Amino acid sequence: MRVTNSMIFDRVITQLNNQQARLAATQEKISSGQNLLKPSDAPDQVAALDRLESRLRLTERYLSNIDSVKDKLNQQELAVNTMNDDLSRVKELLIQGANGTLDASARGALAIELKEIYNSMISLGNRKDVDGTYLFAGYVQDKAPFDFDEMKSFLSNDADVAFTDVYQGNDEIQSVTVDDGYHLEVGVPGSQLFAGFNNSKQDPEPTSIFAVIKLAINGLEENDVEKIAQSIDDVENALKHVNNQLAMIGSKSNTAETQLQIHQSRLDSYEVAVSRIEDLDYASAVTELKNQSLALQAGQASFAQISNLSLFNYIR
Amino acid sequence: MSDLLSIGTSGVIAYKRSLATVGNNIANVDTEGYSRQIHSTEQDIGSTSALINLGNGVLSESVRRAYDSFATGSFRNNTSMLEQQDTLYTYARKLEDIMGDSNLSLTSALDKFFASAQALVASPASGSARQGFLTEAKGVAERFKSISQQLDQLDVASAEEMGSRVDSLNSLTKQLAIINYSLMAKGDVNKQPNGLLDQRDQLLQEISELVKIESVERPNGVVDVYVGTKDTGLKLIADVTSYAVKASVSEVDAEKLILTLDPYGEPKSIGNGYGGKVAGIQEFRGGTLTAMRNRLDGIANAFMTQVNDVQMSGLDAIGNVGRELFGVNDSTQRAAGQMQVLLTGVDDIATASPLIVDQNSESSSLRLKSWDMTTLASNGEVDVNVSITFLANSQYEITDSNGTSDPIDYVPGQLIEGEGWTASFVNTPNVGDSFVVRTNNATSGDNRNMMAMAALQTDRSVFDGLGSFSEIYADVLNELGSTVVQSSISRDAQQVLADEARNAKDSASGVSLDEEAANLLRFQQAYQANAQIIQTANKLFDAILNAG
Repeated sequence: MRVTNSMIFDRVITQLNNQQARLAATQEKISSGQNLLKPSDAPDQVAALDRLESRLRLTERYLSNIDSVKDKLNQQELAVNTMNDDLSRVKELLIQGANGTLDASARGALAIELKEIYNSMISLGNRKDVDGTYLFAGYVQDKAPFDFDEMKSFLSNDADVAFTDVYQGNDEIQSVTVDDGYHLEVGVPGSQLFAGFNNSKQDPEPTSIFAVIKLAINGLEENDVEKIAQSIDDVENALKHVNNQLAMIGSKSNTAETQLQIHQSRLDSYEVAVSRIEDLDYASAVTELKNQSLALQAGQASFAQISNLSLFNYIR
Repeated sequence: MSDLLSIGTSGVIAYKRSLATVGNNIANVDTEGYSRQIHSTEQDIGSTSALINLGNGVLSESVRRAYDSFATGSFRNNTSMLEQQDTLYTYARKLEDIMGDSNLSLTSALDKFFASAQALVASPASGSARQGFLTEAKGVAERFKSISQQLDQLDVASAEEMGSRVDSLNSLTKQLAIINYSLMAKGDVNKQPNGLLDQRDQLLQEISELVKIESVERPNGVVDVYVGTKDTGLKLIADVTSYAVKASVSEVDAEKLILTLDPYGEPKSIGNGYGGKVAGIQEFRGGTLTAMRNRLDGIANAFMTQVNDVQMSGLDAIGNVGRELFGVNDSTQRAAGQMQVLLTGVDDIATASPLIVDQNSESSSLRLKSWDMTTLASNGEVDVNVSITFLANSQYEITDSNGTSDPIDYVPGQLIEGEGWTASFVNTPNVGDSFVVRTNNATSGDNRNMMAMAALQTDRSVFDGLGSFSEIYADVLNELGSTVVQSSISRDAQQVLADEARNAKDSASGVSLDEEAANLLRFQQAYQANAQIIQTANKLFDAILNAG
């Protein structure tokens, strides 16, 4: 085969171009620190990376959902603990009031503190979490679950008013998604926390904390020892009920915590997997770069050699 | 008559021509399309009648091109194939740059949207979470739009390139027709000027970069040129006439470019896949580009449908039936490029479920299984109030706006079916238990429908089990990456074939400076020797003159 000048030069140029291109690609990988710069570098790996990163973002989202659940549960726990303290104080005051030596005015004085506790119980019921969600209102979020004026008339009304008539929330519990298809209920609605237990007389209709405090205030104000004694038993029931609720909230917190750890370890494993695909192995990349620059240098040197070869050099 | 002087003179003249040919070869060493020329000589046999037959010296026979028609034709065909693959590869890479750009990743936009849905699940009453959801919905629409716009640009750029390639093709065929006209002057290809034939071949070569052709040479060197092979009958050039090609967009498929031969005379449609840059562009548009646009549109349509379905089966913050979140202006056009968010107010987001169940039971609860908003809200709003009361441990009655039913036997596990909804019991109810399924009047804090929205993210049934919204774009990237890898492999393979064909052609027609240097010496020496003959003749003549 005749070898012509254009063949020699074209071939050298093509080869040098190819070597330059390979060198530039390796250099780009090293400077970016990334193994995969475009889908065609490794289509299945790039696809796997896209899925992993998506999964990672979702896990991060679940983690922040769990944080929000824990936050809501903590707020509820705080509120219920305060209720517990308040009810214990109610019990103390009632025990004082039950003392046979006390006269009507002394009992009236005790009733004043009880009214304070009644009011603080209302504001507890209306507590909100950091996003402004009422903690104890169920799905009803456009108004507070307890209206102060309504609650005041509930207290002053002689007739028994049902809890459902003053509670403006509903019985539903919000759930938050903490994993694919797994929803965690956030706490308890007001109708469950403040009501839904029986009084000491074992009336078939369940009573409420507000009704219990109302009876206690009435007993003290009316100087009615029998009512006071019944109230003490009622408060006992209320305390038991509130403690049950506290345990329920606590167990939900535990579930949230477990879920948090599951996601945290998943997140770690996703991050490891992402880094394995995405991150460049510098040692091998640098070796590759060295080999490629060596090849390029060899190409350049051989070009210089070949281009000097001409019969014209020897014709004088 | 043969004499030494004329013999020497013929040699000097012949080798001067040979030297000129060598000089011309060296001068054109880097001229594109130049074929090495060979000056061939023959002996002048002189008189045949004489008793002693002395030669008359040397004659120039011809200066011909070193030419291998098979190698030249093979190089043309391989060039067409290479240019087609190269064009395809170049466009596939551009597409990859667009869709593989992590800033344009659809997955991240979809993930953000669903994350905002999750945030709204966690805080359904929060105005900022609602605003965040609308913002991310717009983000998704914008992302679909920007990918689509980038694809539009590629669409336009490739159509423009097609236009300019076809213009070049028409200009080249016109030039070749003019060459054909010049070639008509002589009857034998061997008598044609070498430069003209080189020009002809160079034009054929340039045409074959654009489109694969077959040329049929007539005895005088005039070529008829066909698209593809001569069997197609699609003549680009017949004799001294060239026929124009026109590229136009198909009326049925905007990605399809149709090529028409002789559009203003007797229009003939040129199909796809004849090779060359033109075929590469056609193949890219009809193949990879269309496939990617279809994938993008498929995702856009599925996303809008699924999200709108959930949105429309819930109630918004005010208690109204949810309206479509996403929409397009023109449903006949591609969806991805015109997706928009239709809702403006944060209260329009349907976070709530339409129904709520009041449970009056110690042990059992009634759970909604499914509902159909079309039936529930057939008159525009949801109006449900149905009581289920257990008369005995396994017998209940239903009271709704039509009155109270006859007692119905309850079988554990059985679905309770209302108008537009179904529900089932967890634990078997006891006598005296009652349940009320009613319109949800507390939508402000209900997040159940938004929970269904957020669950779409990982729902693998959306694309018939192929993947969820979070996963499907990965398949697109995989498909595109594989296309690029494939076309790169095909191009490289074709490059090897084209290089070989070029070498074969060059081997016959190319100039080798070493060879020319040797010839230079050879002809120089021959020239000098012949000059010596003339000098000898002169000396002989002098000898005769001086003899007297």
